[in-house]
Amino acid sequence: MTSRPFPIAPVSQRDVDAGWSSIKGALEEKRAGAWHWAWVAAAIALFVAVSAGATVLVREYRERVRRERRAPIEQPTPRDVIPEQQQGAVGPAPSGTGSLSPVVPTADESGRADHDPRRPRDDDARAPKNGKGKGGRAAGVAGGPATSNRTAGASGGPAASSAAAEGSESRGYSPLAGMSPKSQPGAAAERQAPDATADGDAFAAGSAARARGDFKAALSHYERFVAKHPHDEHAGIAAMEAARILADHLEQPAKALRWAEKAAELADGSVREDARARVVQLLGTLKRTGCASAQRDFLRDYPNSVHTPRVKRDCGEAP
Amino acid sequence: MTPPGNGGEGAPSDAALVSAAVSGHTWAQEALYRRHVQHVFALAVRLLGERDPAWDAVQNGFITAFRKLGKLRDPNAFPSWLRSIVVRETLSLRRRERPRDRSVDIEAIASEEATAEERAAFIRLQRWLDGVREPDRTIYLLKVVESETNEAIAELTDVSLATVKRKVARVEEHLKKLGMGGADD
Repeated sequence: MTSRPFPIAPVSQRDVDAGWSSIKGALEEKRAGAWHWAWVAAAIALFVAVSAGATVLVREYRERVRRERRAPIEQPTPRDVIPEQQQGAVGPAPSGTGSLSPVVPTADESGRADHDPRRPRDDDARAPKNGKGKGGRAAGVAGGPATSNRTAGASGGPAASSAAAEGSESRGYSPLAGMSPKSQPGAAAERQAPDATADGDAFAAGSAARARGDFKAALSHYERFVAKHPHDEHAGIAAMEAARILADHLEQPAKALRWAEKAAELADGSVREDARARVVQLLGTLKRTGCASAQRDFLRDYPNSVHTPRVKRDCGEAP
Repeated sequence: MTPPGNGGEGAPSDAALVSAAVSGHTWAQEALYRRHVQHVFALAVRLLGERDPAWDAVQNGFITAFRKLGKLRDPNAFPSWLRSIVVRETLSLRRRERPRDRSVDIEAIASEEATAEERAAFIRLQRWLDGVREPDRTIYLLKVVESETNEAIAELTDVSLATVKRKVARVEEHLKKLGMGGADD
């Protein structure tokens, strides 16, 4: 065999040049292909990101629209069930302060009117007797006396109070009063309502939490709402709701008293009347010395209140 | 043909060209190509016995080499690394090829330097090796024609050293029976 490799005729310069062009083209094509796929990947990533963002925005928009629509349609307000002549009679309660909104908002005025404390609820029905324990069902259901077992927060304005004096059926909101929150119309929607955390939605979130029985969450929402919006027309209602939850569900009468006093400061009209009655009740429960004076003041300011019979008993002795 | 390890005095070394090519300089790739193309082409022709498939193997080998250049740890080893890539390309081509009559066109592939004896021996060897399967054929060609060591053959063909030795011995025995001699070492 030969000792050297068999000599091969070399490639012509033209073929070498053509070969280099071919190799260069293949390498550039590969590079371009890599860029192409990089662009495709980037476009896909961008599309996914935009789609995700759009989905979030659309979801938020739908939820907002759903919340806005749900409030007035699915949550009946007390005004909806009050006879027309009584609605006309409901007006601003005599107020000593005059510094706050003189009229409790109605369903027509605000989507939050469904949180009016005059709305009958089963926590109303479970109102404590003599400031302790749980009371019977709302009188309106059984057609019995409307005033005996009602809590302070369940009263109407002065006009409604006088109507109540005439008969229990006319102010007991009987179509709804005996129903638990879960069985009331709109309760399902309330249960499904998201727990909004924005301050502006704290009131609605509190009502939703209360409706589904999450009283601690409801209390938290109401407290935050009052802290953030002390001058809002609903601040008094929120404070009153907080007091009611603390007294009736969380067994914290001392804290409930503070919130009831705050509600009496912030609220006006019937809510203020409810709050002051609740203050008297809680002072009696806690056996505080101020009970008698608060009782005296209440009876002086609201001689015809629906709460009068009970307030007279709250401090343990007739004034 | 003498392996073009470096481009001569003044010319950049293979290592410098490899570094520049890895950095993305096309001129360095071209320089490496022009420096080594004839050598690896001759190798491919000797392994395949034909110019056109050999040219394809060389083209594919350079493309593969430039794509994987960043993986080459020792830039000075570029010539042997390129040879191993081209050998694998030729092996791959042979394996993909359908069986056919490979009559060697010696006038087309041999240079003018080749003597008549060398030409006759090359034709005989190619004709006889046509009946040998891959990678035995390439192993023996590398041993006899390229005068590669067994270790280098094992590295070039991805076959173990023991297998290379066994296959070389078997082919040499056959060639002796045919009166064609064998490798020098």
